[in-house]
Amino acid sequence: MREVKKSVPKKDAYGLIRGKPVYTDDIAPRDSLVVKILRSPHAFARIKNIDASEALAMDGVELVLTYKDVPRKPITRAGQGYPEPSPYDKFILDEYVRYVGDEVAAVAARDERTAEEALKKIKVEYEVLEPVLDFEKAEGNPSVIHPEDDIFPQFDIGFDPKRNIAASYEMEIGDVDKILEECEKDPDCVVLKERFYTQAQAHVMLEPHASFAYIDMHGRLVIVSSTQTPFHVRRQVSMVLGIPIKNIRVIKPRIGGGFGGKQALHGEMIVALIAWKTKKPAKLVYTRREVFEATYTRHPSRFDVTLAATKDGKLKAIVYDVLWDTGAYGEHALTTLMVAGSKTLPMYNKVDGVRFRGKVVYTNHVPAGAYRGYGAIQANFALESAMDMLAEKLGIDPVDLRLKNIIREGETSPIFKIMGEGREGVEMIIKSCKLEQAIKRGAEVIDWKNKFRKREKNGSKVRGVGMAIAMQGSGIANIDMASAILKLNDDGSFNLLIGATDLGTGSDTILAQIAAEALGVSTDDIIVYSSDTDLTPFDTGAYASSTTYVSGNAVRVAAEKMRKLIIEEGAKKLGMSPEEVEFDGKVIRAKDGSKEVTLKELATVRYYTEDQKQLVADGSFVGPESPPPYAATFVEVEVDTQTGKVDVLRYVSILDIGTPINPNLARIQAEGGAVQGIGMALYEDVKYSNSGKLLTNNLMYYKIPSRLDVPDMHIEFLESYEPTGPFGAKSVAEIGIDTPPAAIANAVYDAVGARIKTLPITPEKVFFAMKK
Amino acid sequence: MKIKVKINGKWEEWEIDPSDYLLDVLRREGYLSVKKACDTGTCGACTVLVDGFPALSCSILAATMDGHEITTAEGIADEMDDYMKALASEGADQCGFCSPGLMVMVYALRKEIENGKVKKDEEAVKRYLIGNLCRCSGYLGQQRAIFKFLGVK
Amino acid sequence: MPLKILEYVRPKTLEEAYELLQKDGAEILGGTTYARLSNRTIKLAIDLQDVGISDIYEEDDYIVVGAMARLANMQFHDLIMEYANGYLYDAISYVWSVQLRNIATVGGTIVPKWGFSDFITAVLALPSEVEFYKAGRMKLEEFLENPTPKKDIMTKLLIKKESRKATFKFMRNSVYDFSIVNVAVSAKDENGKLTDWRVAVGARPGVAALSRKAMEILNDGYDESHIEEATEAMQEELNFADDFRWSGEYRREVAGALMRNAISEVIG
Repeated sequence: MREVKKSVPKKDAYGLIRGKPVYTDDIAPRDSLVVKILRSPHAFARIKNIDASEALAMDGVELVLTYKDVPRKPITRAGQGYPEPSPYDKFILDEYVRYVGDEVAAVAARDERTAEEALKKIKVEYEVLEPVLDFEKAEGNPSVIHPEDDIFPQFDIGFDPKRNIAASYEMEIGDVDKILEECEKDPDCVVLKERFYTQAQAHVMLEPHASFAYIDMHGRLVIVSSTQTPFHVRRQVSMVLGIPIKNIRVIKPRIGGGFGGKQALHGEMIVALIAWKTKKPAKLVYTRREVFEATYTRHPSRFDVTLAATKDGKLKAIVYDVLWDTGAYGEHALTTLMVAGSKTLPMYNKVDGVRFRGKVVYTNHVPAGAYRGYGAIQANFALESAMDMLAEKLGIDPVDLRLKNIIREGETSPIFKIMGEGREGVEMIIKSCKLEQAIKRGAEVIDWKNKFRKREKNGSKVRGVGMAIAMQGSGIANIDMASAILKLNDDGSFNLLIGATDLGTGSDTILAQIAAEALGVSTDDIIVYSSDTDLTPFDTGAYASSTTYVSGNAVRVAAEKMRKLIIEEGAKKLGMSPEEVEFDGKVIRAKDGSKEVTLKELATVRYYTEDQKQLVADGSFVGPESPPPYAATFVEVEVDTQTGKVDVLRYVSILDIGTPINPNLARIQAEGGAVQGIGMALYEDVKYSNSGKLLTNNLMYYKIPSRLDVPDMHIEFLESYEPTGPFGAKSVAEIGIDTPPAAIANAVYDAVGARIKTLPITPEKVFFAMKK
Repeated sequence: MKIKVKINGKWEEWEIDPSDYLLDVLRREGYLSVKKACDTGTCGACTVLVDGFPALSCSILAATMDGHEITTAEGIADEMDDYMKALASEGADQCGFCSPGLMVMVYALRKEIENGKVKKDEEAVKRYLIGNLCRCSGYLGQQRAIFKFLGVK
Repeated sequence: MPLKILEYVRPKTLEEAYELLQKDGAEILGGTTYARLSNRTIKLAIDLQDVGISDIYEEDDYIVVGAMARLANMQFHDLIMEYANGYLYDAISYVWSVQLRNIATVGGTIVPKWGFSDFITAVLALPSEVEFYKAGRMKLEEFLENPTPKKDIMTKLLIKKESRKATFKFMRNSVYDFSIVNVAVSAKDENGKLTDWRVAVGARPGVAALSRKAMEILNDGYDESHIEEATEAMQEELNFADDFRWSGEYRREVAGALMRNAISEVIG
């Protein structure tokens, strides 16, 4: 391998570091109307009267939209494949407002100040309704958050809005009740039941959500957006505004991070409608407060885990009872819930029984949506904490308990077939899995044997170690589709056109490396253009750890076709058959050494003089399966018994991601994911007021890890090759985030005996837990 | 009102409102490397040099800058080639949104180290850069590049 | 809606600034760092950068810090770096970020009596005074405990120069955060004997206050039992309250631990 397994700098690196104007707000037309949103001050209310006449009369105000001015067409904002597994329960603007921050009206004005002044002039009379702010009391609550009758799911997702249920799912393998009952009676068996809670983590991508729209010379609608899913945006906007897909173009420029938070419509519908109505460019850039209060969070959860095991540590049953808070709208509700099962349960594939029961309830909180980890991290915290507790109950080392029960190469799990994302999954024999090696290696690096339960003291500080393992996926099997086009230029370079969406991860570069490797050329000779619905072929978008595996395979297919074309055309030029020539990336030559033509010469004559044609190749790919990457993470913490403060001293994560196409970029994904996971574990606390207003709505109060909070990290990729992936690759985007919460909770327990079951693990919680 | 500022070495006169913050004025005047990300003086994406010292342009009233010297990432990029190479070769630029502000800080940090005000060690470098948040990289890749650039052992 | 300013002026003298301040709706611009978060209108914003109160110098027995000095200027000033073994240098170095300390002014930090302030706690543990243009000089604790002089301009912070040992402690979860609670302790070093103890506790979450009972006990003696008694007295005397992030009970407990640690460090 020459171009993959190589740390090529990102193609956009120098432009980005210099601060070139390449993000949505940087490139919006200078004369754009500035759009501002009037947001609900109430957690739940009906708009009795809304009068925008005074705002509209202001000098500089172009347009005001209220629910009376927009088409009433239900939609889901979730950027998912069609038909989406999320309920169509959202309107562009609605008579009801369902959380503090929900959209009431939109103003388009000549500048920001005028738009903000105009917001104040809109008179709204609300009928304040009783909000549902405790998700454990949402189901069947007399306050029905979605009383309207014109909302619906695309297919059966267990949708029951009259009972505040956005989605629900159940499955069972084996007779779980019987297994548990027998286990309870059996002196050689133990049953452990524990309840865990996780919080509504915020993505905090540095670039706030931004979009603008304008009408081009042909009268078509062009939307430029910081989105993870340009093709879904095109389809969704077409559907909700009734503009044909052929009249919409969506472009994603450089974007400042996503992490799932931009896998949805946030502003695009509004700017599109304003541009469509006014025929003027219109832009909407969220403030940080709006990003916190009115975009997405991770789904908060209550997670009941029951484990049954024999005294010698063989797991017999795993039972999940899950309650998920989707907030005001059901975006990604069913799919995140199902991923909680499908991306954790197969890790322990030797059990006799598995049961999963989950409900996703509506509340009057900020809506939850996609976020890196996508349900798996919530489940991982619960399952891997419970495994640690089970190990203690059994008197078995947690490392050994994992080793006895984990999935291995060549094995399968019935879960793969039963649980997909929103529907049935696909059968899969695991072709690459180095989980066992990862656990053993991690234990060695952290020096587990000499540290576990040693509780080394230093003044008021005590050290402890903890571990957790995780799996994720590589795209959504049978759903995520990507495609690529390669075009040969007359100097022998190639344009790679891809619908895939680089969020800053470097996927444009990685896909270029895959193309270069398959073609046998240098990555420098691949010019990438991505994420433009007019100019690039379809791709579902950047989510579900799909780009390297799904889009990468599409690129590989296109590049292999192009290579074949070059050999055919080169042979023709040399007057030989394709079997008689070879291509080394620069020259097509006869295998007997008699003749040769350079790629540049070939490309030039095909453009201008001989048998003229454009050499172009395409490739599409839909994953027949979703091979999981794996991680084993070990942490050493130091807990200050005077304050409860937890410092992570050392973080060791051993990963199986298949072939790292670009080891540096893979490392950054693993490190960045781990730090977000550490943030969820220790710092990122979410607080609401009694009336349902988000209080942690800025970066002063919502603390993401700073560089001084980041521990010493040992990230290691094991040699692994996934035969279905491009050059052996699986995925790396999400796997890094899953393990920190449980690993840290387990380490805190190891240090001071305090078991924290509600995230985040704040010093206050540890302090009072130690006192008990 | 009008203010005169020396921006990236050249005097300019800007028409501003007394309520305008420097960040918004800089972006309006085309200095788009200066990013608006947190609105609360926390993330460092809007960092510029004021009279040579790094400051948060989101938290400075533009009116107070009359007669002062401002430097943005655009004004120092040509002197920071080695830094850019170091960051790019770690892949740590990632989404890039925090990168220009961070580069301004690293530029100032290098001077402070030369002046003996900041120690040339890992802890001091991290302390100096604590006000530059990054959500993509987990900081470690950035730091590998910065330590290399500054020669921190 | 952010801050709205109708008119901005930059007077050349304190006298001129004071006169302008007497106008209806006139306000002094502090460091402007937190102003962004407020949602008000200032009719006349007065910028003091040209009135000559930015310097740091020695006068009589005091280190004088102009109210318009930036926290970073103060942090790196030789007088401050030398004082009490760099105590204030250290304390300031934990205030938010470099980029903020280059903007935030001493007056802009003290006058609003920010509860979250580490700086005020650290300074309050030293014998210090503030000076206002009209109201004149007062002890820092008097200023904090009484209503702020209206329509007046803080001109100076004065820190008594004497041989002192001092320690500043704070508790945070993320290092880059406001302190959950902070404690500063100092004592006069009279040839090895520690006298005139000062104990300041801030971010309770109210603004820093002295625990006079604790100080009295420590002035009596600073062996184990006095330290324990003083700590309990502080926990009882000062008010600790909940905010939406941390409980008063937790703050009280942690303040005790920080105070014990601070005293042992001062004793050395």
